[in-house]
Amino acid sequence: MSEPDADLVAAARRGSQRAFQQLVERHQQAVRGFLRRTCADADDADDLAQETFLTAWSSLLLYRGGASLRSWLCAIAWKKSLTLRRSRGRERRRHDSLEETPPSALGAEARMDLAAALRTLPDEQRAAVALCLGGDFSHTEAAEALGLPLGTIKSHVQRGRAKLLAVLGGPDE
Amino acid sequence: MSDAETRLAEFWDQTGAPARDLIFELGVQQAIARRRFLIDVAGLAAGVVVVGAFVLAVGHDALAGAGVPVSNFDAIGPVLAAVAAIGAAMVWFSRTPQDEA
Repeated sequence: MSEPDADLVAAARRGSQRAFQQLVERHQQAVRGFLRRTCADADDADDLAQETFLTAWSSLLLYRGGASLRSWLCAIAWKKSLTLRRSRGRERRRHDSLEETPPSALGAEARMDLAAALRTLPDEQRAAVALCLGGDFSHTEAAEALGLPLGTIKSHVQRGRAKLLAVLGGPDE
Repeated sequence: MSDAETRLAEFWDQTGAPARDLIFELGVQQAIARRRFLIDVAGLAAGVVVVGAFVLAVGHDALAGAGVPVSNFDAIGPVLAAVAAIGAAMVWFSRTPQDEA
């Protein structure tokens, strides 16, 4: 049975590298998935994810345990993502690596349309959608990660989902 | 679930990250090891500076007070500082891993 995050955090604070590695193993999918869906480039996303865990390692004492650990990690990731975007400017956004994803039942064209639609969403809306729809974050967790009111998150998710479904020709509610 | 919703779910699957990625996890480990090394070196350097400054500041008086003949502290100061640096380096290199294993 796996140890709870709180126990691993406590061990990592005491200097256990193994405990922190377990936390990385446990949460890398959520953090990287979130960043891949919000960044324009998958390599950038993975670099940011690595920086996120590095920052988390050096800031573990600041984690109070009020929010879930993955929310705290995604909050760090989100701030880093925004900083990167601001430093590069919107004009340098490239096509993301979604083009490189393997072929599947979802056609390449539809996938590109969705990726493009996702990029057109406002930053906070895209992040909320990526967390709650792309990841399995609850609205509360997303609110903690993005530092937004719960109602705003719900609204972002609903509107973002409607826009993406509209791209696929589905009901936009 | 409508067709559009199914395709949207598939899109999320395709754009996510794998459940395990040893290369990524190793990269994080290495980044932490580098950061830990830099912190250690910075700590060691700061310790050397502090000890060296202390030696230079009070070494002469301390040695003279202890009855050690000190005719030229300008010559012995750097020696004491070097000894302090070597001692600090020995402490650093002889430390045990922090990991609890």
